[in-house]
Order: sequence, then C-alpha cells, then structure tokens
Amino acid sequence: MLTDWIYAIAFFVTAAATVASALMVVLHRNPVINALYLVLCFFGVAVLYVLLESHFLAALQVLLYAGAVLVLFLMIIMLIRLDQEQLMKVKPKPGKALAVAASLGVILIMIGVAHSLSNPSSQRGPFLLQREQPERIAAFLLDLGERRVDLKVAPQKETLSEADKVQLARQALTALAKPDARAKAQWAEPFRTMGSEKIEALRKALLAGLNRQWTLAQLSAPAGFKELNRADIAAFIRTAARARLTQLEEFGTTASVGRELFSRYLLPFEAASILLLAAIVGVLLLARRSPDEGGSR
Amino acid sequence: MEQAVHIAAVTRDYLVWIPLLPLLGFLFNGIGWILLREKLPRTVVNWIACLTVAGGFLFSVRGFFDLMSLPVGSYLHQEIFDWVVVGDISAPFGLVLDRLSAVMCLVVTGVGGLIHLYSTGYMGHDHAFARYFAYLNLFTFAMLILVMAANILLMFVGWEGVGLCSYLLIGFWYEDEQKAIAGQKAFIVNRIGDFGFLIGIFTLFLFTGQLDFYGMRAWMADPLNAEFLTKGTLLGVSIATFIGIALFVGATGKSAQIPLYVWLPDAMAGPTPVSALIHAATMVTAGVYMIGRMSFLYVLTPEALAIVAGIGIATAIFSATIGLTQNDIKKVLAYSTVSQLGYMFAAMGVGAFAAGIFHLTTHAFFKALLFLGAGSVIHGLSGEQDMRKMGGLSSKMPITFMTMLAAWLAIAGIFPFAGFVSKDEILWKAFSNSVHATTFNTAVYVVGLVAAGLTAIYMTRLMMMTFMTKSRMEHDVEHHVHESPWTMALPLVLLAVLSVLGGLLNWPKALGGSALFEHWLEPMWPGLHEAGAHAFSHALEYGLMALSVGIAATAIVVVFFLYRSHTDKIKALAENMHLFYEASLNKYWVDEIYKALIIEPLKRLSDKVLFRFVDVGIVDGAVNGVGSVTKLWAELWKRMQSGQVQTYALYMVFGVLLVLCVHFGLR
Amino acid sequence: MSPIVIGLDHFLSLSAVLFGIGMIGALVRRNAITVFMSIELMLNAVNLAFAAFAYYRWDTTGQVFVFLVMVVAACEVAAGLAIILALFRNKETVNLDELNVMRW
Repeated sequence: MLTDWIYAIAFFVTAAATVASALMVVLHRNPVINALYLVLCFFGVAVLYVLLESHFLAALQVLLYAGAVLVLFLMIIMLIRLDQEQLMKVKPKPGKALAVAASLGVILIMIGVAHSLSNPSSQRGPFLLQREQPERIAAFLLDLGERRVDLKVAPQKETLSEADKVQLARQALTALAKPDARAKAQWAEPFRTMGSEKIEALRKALLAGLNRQWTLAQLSAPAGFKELNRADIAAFIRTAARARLTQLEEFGTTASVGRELFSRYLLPFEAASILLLAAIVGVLLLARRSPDEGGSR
Repeated sequence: MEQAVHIAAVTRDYLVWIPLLPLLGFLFNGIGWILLREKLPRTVVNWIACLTVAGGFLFSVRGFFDLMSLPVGSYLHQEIFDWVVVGDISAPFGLVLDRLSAVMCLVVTGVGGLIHLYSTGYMGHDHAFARYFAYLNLFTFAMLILVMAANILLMFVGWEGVGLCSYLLIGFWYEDEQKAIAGQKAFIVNRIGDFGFLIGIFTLFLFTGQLDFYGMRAWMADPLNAEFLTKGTLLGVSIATFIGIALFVGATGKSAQIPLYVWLPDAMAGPTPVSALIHAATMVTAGVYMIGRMSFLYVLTPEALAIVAGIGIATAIFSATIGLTQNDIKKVLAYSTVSQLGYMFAAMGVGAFAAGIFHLTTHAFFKALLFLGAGSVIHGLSGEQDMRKMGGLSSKMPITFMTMLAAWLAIAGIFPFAGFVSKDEILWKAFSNSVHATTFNTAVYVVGLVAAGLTAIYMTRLMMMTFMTKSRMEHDVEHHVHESPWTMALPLVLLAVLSVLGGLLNWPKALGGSALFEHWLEPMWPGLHEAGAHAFSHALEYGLMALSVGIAATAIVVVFFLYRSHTDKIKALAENMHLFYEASLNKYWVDEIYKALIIEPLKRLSDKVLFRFVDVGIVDGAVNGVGSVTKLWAELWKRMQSGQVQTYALYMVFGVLLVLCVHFGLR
Repeated sequence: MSPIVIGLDHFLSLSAVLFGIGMIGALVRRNAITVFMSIELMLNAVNLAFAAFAYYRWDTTGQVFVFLVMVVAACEVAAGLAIILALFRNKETVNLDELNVMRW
C-alpha cells in the first residue's frame, strides 16, 4: 500500500513537471528557452520510463534525446541567427485558434478512450485488472514446493485460493510457449531432453485440461504421456511457473530488449540501421554549402 | 338517291405504269442533264418527255374503259410494296383507279400531255431545256400519285411533291432573283397550308384509326362511327368538323383560296406552260379533288361544308375584283384562276361534288387554253406581257386569236360552251341544295352571280386589249410578230375543241341531257342526299340559267363597246372610282398587310426572342454557365492551398478528429 | 483510505496531454525550429504510451517499438534540421508564415 502511495506521488509530480515543461516549450518566444524546457521534458519522460520499469529505455532516452537530438537543436538555433525583432509577437491569426481547438478535441477524445479502457464495467472488460503480479507467481512457486529460493521478487503474503492457483497455472503454461535454449538448460529432468514438439503437445494438453476446470489436484498425465506420473506433471507446472517468473523479473532490462530485437524484430532493426545510413547521407547533402556560395565542399 | 353499291376492289397490274412512265422520263432527262448538260439532244428530250406522259394517258384510258365494264362500285387497285409498316399503322404504296381518280388521271395526263407538247415549242430556245422537262415529268408523276393514292399518307407524298415541283418550276429562271423569290413564296405558303393538312391527317388517324380511303369510307358508313365523329367534340366543334376544316386549310394553301392565295399571282414568274399546267389545270385542283375524295367525311359535317362554300365564293368575288384592273396578261389569268377555284370550292361546299369536279375539268380545258394562248402571244411579241402594249393581234395571230375566243366565251359562261354548263350547274346547285339553309344558299348564289358577271367583264377586257383593239405595240415588237409553230398551235386547237364541246359531257337534265359526268361519279359520294334538288321546278332552273347568261352577255357587250370606241369613258370611270381602282390594282395591299402583320413580327420574334434570348441567352448561357460554375467552384476551393505547411497539418488534424469521432462514436 | 493505483489509463492520459500540447505547438508556432521541437514532444508522448502498454501487459514488444521510434526520431531530426538550415540559407527566414511559395 505504501508503495502504491509512493508510486502515485512520484507519478503525479513527474507528470506535472513534464506537462509544465511541455507548455513552456510551446508557449515561449525564444527558441533557446524552448530547447531548454524540452530538455526538462525529456528528463521527465525518462523518469516516467523508470516508473514503468523500462530502465533500458530510460537510459536510451537520456542518451539519445537529451544527449544528441537536443544538442543538434541548439546547434541549429545557433547557426540560424534571428534578430530580436523576429522574436516579437505578432497578432494571432484565427486559424491558430482553430488549431488549438482541434487539438484539444483530439486530446479529450483520447483521454476518454483511455478511461474507457480501464473502466471495470465497460464491455471490453477491465483491460488492465488482469495484470500479472510477479509476487503471486513467486508465492505459487513456493506453494508448489519449489526449493530453490533465489527469488528476486518477494512472494506475496496472502494465501492463494484454489481458483487463483488454477489461474496462475494457466498463465504460466500460456507464457511457456517457445522456450529458448538457455532457459531450457535450467529445467529439471526429464523435460530438459524432451523434444520441443512433445513439450508443446504436453503444454497444450495440460492447458486444455485446466480450461476444462480441472483443479491442480486433479491434474493427471494426459493421453500419450503415460510415462509421466503426477509428480512429473507437478514438476512441469513448476518449471513453467519458474520460467514465467524469470521472464517477469527480466522485464525492462537490456538483455530482454536485446533478446527481442535480435530474434523477433531483427528485420526492423536492420531496416533502422539502413535508415540511419540514409539519414546520414541525406543530411550531408542537404547541409553542405553549394559551390557558388563560397566555402569549402 | 342513294343506292346500295357494293364496293369491291379489283386488282390490275398496269396501274403502276400511269405514274411510273413520267417518273422514268424525269430520271432520264434529269440524269441526262446532269451528265451531259447541253450536249443532250433536244429532240430526244422532247420525245421522251412527251411520250412518257402520252403513255400514261393511254393507260389511263385503258383503266377508264376497264372501269366502265365493271359493275358500279368496283374500283381498280394495285399495291406496289409495303411502305409504312409501324405497329398498328400500315400504309402500303398502293394505287387506286376508281371513277373519280380516272377522271383526274385523264385530265392530268391528257391536258398535261398537250402542255408538254406545247412546251417543246415554247422552251425551244431555252438552254436548260432538259431540266425543264425533267421537272415537268416529275410534276406529272407527283400529281398522278396524288390522285391515285390509296391512302392519305401517300396522297400527302404527292401533295408535297407537287408543291416541290411548283417551286422548282416557278423559280426555273432562278438567275433572276425576283423569280426565285416567287418560287420560295409559293413553297412557303404551301407549307403553311400543309401544316393544317397534317393536323387533319393526324386527327383523322387518331379518331378513326384509318389511313386507307376505302377503309375510311367503310368505317364511316357504320352509323355508330359516324355518330362518334359528329357527336364527339374537339376544341368546340365536332370531330368531323375539325378534321374537315384542318384538311381544308391544306386545300386553301394548295388551291390558292383566302387566305393563302397570295402565292399564285407571283407564280406567274415561271414559264407560261408551267402556269398553264400547274396553276390552272392540275396542281391547284388538288384541294378540290381532296374534298371529293373525302366526301364521306364532309357529308357528316355541314359546318365545315359551309366554311368551304363561304371561303370559296368569297375568294371567287374577291379575286375577280382584283382581276379587273391588272395590266399584265398573266396576272389577269392568275386572278381568274383563283376566282374559278373559288367556284369549285363553293360547289363542293354546297354538296355538289360532281359539279365541282366537272368545273375542275372544264376549267382545265379553257384555263389551260387561255394560258397557252397568252404564252403564244407573249412568244409572238418577244416577251411582252403588258396588255397596254398589245392590241391588234387578231389578224396577226389568227390561230391564237380563234382559240382564245373559244376559251373566252367558255369562261364567260356563254351558252352552249363548256364553261356555261359547269358554272351554271354550280350556281343552280348553290341555290337549290339541301345541305344549307335558304338564306345561306341565296347569299352564295347572289355572290356567285356577281362574280360571274365580273368574270365576263375582265375576260372581255383582256380579249379587247390584247386582240381586238388597235395596236399599241412597240415598233420592233410589231415587226417580229409571228404566229406560233405547230407544236404550240396544235394543243391550242385541241383544247379549244374541248372547251367548246366539253359541255356535252354533263349536259343538264333540264335541257334534255343525261348528265353523264354526274352520273358517272355518283357512286363516289355515299351519304349525299339529292332530295332537295327535286323540290324546285324546272322553270326556276331555266330562269336562273337565262339570268346568268344574260348578265354575262350584257357585260361582254358593254365592255366590248367601251374598249372599242369609248376608251375615254374607261378613264373617267377609273377616276371616279379612284379608291376602288387603286385598291384593286394594288391587290388590296394584301401582301403588304401580311408582311406587316405576320412576317415582320415573326422575324422580330425569331431574332429577338428565339435567337437572342433562347439560343444565345438560355442555351449558350447554360453551357457557358456550367463552365463558369466550375470555374467559380474551383476559385472558391483553391484557397485551401495556402502554401503553408501548418495549414496542411491542420487539415490532417481535422481528418484525425473526424476518424476518431466516427470510430469511437460508433462504438 | 484506498490508494490511487496508477493504471494504464493514467499513463495514456498523460501521453494524450503531451501529444496534444505538442500538436498545438506544431500548428500554432511560427518558428520552424520550435515546430520541430513540438514534433519531438509528440514523438515522446507516443513513446510513453508504448512503454506504458509494454509495462501493463508484460510484453517487451512495446519497448522494442520505443527503441525503433527513437532511432527514427533521431534520423528525422537530423534531416529536418538540415532542411531548415538549407531553407534559411535561401530565404533568410525560418518564419513559416512567410514561406508560402506553393500557394494558389
């Protein structure tokens, strides 16, 4: 509860700071001042990333935006010397008011949508109330008899009901799809050497059984896996839960992002690098002085 | 007395040759002219032209005798091909030779043939001779189609055809603009009448569903149908009256009655044989023929007949007064034609259909003769047409003089010439018919009598000034005066014989004859009651006959002596009746009135309203307007392109807003 | 007293607000560079939304998205500022209101 409060306060303060800075970016006349407030914005967003446990992104934000983009902005502002007269205010045009109104409209709609997403009574279902909590999985693991207690997450204190356990088992099994080799190496026998198709089949069968409202106690070896007994099934579930917990513990780390980037999202990654190359070439071409303007090529 | 006649059609295959031969003549001469121009030998042209018409005459004669041998009520008929076949409407190209058509065919081909022969002499020095004969043959063809048509649509083809040929022939010397304008006037005035004719055809078909003449006759014989036509109304008059009047409007155009007669005097600009053929003997009689053809309709509508008679007799006297003062020989004859046509219509209007057709026939004889004679005079005088510059020709052109004498006596109505018989028959029937009330009859009779007297006066004047007074010719003209060649003289003689003896065809019963002509045509007029004629005594008939002859004779004598020895009295008379004289000489300024009241307003309407307002204003305006609207629309919306990036970004934001509203609004 | 649990909707609302402010700036400001900065603000707001989704769904995909958006933003800033520089060299102004050569 306390953490909730702390979290909330942190969020609101950061949010307020960010919004205020954003307003100053948009409202102040002097572009240099605008740039400086933009830095503040970026930092605010970085803090928000930390609140969202995306530590890697937070670092990246500071590095890239505050470190590179803004420097570029300031350099250009410096190159484009504007007289004081040009900074003076001019009469606002009616079109601008319209723009403001439209933007406000968009904002309001989006806020409304956001609220409807988390409304428990909305038809789409409470979108977020199902957020998994690693504490519960940790407790589940202990309940299942896991002996290795190097848990990074403190298991929750409250006891789990039977229904909770079934739900957690289902979540664990669902998340077990496509385990990678490194994780698999840490599994116990006999699952370590089992083929992936067999593991997949077993997983699906157990999931189907749980969906048919079996309880954990009733879970037995499905057809085709007669060599496994109850203890083996329990061990499998335990493996799944541990894998899931590991996943959740690793959330937001460089390793996890990197893992995704270089496996599932390899193509966009490479495309991004080509984009960078194109941008470099383009900028070089655009920014050089033309020969008749004088200055070296 | 009506007899029950059995109508039967008899097919004959030679009917088609009657119109076809002149058509072939037209094609030969026409194409020959186009290809060879003046290299085409004159004799060939002459022979082709005359022989084709002669051939048509021979076939007509054969048809006539054929008819005589068949029972009363039968008629000859030949269908050539299917012409109009559209849904319910079926109008085949069919030819009919019944008693009325036979008479007309004989007149057209007979008198026409004589005029063809005359033309070979008259047009002997003209350079466009082949064109002339081609048109003349074409005219003959069209006229024969008109009189032989089995249905009213085909008749209208002939009707239009003769109008066209009239235009072509009046404006034959088109290098002279006045002559070309005269031709144009004829065609246009005809057209106005034709509009009425078309309305008549349409209404007729609409209410009866019939186009074929014998089909119509059978349809109207049914008392229920007849009652439908007489009891049903259209625009305030009975249907039959409406159709009758509409068709008669066409007749006023074609046959030069009030108000559409104005083209005929101008038509004298054409060669004289043309005036003889078209404007005396044949084309102008088409209207009379039409009423005869549609007699079964007209007997259903005494109102229309009254209008026909009224306009006819009014025209008769009106144009007779104009003819009194004209100085051009052909103009006198032109107004005389209009006047005599009025008599024919008066006859048809009082139900004396046979009398009208008979006057048509005799008029063809003596009026053609008069015109051809005038042509002979003009030819002999090297082109002089003004009677004030003629005179003394009785000795210098004897054949012409003698033949025209016969025509003169005929037209004046002197016993026993042809004109007397026919004109008197009309006057008697006008007086005694049972179609109209006595007052109307008497009025028509009196006017007709006066007009007869006027006819005698102006014809005698013509004869006096041309032949029987001292010469007033110019010297060089007088030197070259010569009688016409045989090609021109022979037709004159033949026509003179017919003018003298023609009366025998229909010698009245009152004078001991058997009225052959009337008898012959009687089966053509179903529904006509002759009862009224018998109510009057023969004594009255003799008395009226004597009256008309007496008036004519008196008029002749008076005019004879006036012109012979008392020319000064003529001048005094002209000065005393100065107003009347001026009005008559200027044809009552009718042409000027028409121009001012009708033509000029129409021209102004066409220019100011239809051209400026409708065509330029509305039509062009609409088209240009579409363009202007497009331009304006574009001008309005191009302002979206402000050139500023932020404007375009704003448009994008609007789009996003719209999509969001729609998407989440629909949820 | 129940604490306010910060849910996804809070983060999304914040993202929306930042996005809107950035949009206002992009549409209203005359200085091209300031407009660019507003656009960066918008991009950051979107990044925030992605990260929030990643957190609340335990899905690293959101973070990968953020990563790629950052890369693209960097390229875009470089190119855009180069353009502004070239523009300034030619027209002596970066006032967007004056740059309307392509108007009707």
